[in-house]
Amino acid sequence: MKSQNKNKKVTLLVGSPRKEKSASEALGLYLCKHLDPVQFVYQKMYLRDQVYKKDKDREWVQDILQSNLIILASPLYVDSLPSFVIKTFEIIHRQAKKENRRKGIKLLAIINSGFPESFQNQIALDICRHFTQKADMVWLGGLALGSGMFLGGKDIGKMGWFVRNIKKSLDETAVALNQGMPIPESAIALMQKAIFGKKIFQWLANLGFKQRAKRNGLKNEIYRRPYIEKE
Amino acid sequence: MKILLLDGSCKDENYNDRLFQVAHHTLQASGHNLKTYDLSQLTIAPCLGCFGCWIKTPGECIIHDDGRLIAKELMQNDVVVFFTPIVFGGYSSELKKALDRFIPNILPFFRIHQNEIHHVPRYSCYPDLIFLGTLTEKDQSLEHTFYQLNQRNVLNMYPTYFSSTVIYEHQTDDEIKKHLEKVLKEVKII
Repeated sequence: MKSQNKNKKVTLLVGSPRKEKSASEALGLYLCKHLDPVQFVYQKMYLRDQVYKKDKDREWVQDILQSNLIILASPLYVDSLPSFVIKTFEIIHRQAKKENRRKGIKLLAIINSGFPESFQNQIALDICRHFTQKADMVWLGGLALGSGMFLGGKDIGKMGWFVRNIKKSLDETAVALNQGMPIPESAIALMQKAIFGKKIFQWLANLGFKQRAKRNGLKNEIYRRPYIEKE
Repeated sequence: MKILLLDGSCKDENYNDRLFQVAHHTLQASGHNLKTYDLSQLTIAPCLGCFGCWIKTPGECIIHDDGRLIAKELMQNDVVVFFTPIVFGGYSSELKKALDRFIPNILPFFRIHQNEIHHVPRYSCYPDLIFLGTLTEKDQSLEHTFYQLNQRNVLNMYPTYFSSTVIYEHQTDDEIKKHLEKVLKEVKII
């Protein structure tokens, strides 16, 4: 991975099982592509693939622990991180305690949720912060995005006005990282700006799910209650 | 009353089952119908994020493994107890893999609830919840995050009653038992 001028290794951890179709990857990749290519070289890992790999030596964990900077890009699952992201943290923490490894690895997180309010991601960011403290890493801060589902896996760089605040936030974050600084407050605030108001989000999202169910031949079946015993 | 106890302990080399055994005995002593699952022994694949449980096989996950069983059990018990070591302020990956598979039990649609956007319930009745976190020693910062996470889950899992607490390895069996009895009273189990 190393070249003559590139000596800082960045690992993008994609916490979405949807991989390249995910908003998580889109956000993480945009940021990685805007890092100074002279200073940084980045690699990408899909955590769902790594955690369940039958690899006794867990080379992928060593790979992460040799990074200078870790960027976790993950969706919000049931008010927290997806189970395999937590599993990754557990494994890294255990491994980091066992060995004399590189100190001061930096970590930042970008969490996106399927709700319009970015604050619903706060607990997931707090969990990331606690992890960095326990694993003796340096917490650079977190970005929280609402309505992430509307990004899909599209290239944010090619999207227009709709994602202007997201781009600005990630651009500012990249500039800060290039200077060895944590995520600036202004970048956090820009990412927190709602893409849609609650009412518009509700209307669009509900319509979207109805249309997708209809394409699968479902109408009222969408309300099925297969585990009805209690009622 | 039917009580479901989900054991999210990580069975690694440092695992000690004392806290779980005290919790289990205290629940058993309440005289209700108690069912327990050791989640580390179940095959529960991580949620794929495919929304199949909403738009293909509504109410049921498309993955045929124990995750389906737990989602069903969650709806067919009166009280669910989540037992977990507090891991970085949240739940263990063992418990979380089961919780991530809860989403078939809600609808894909959104509503405004307590001035926030949340999913619409699929069922008219959901179990009451007890969140039981364990720590080796007191850690206010981790506990704060744990309690906040419980509050967020309550908004999305619709219990009538819930309670959350943290127990510590330095506590004696009697201390833990008394502590848990208070929790059971809050959820009207005793």
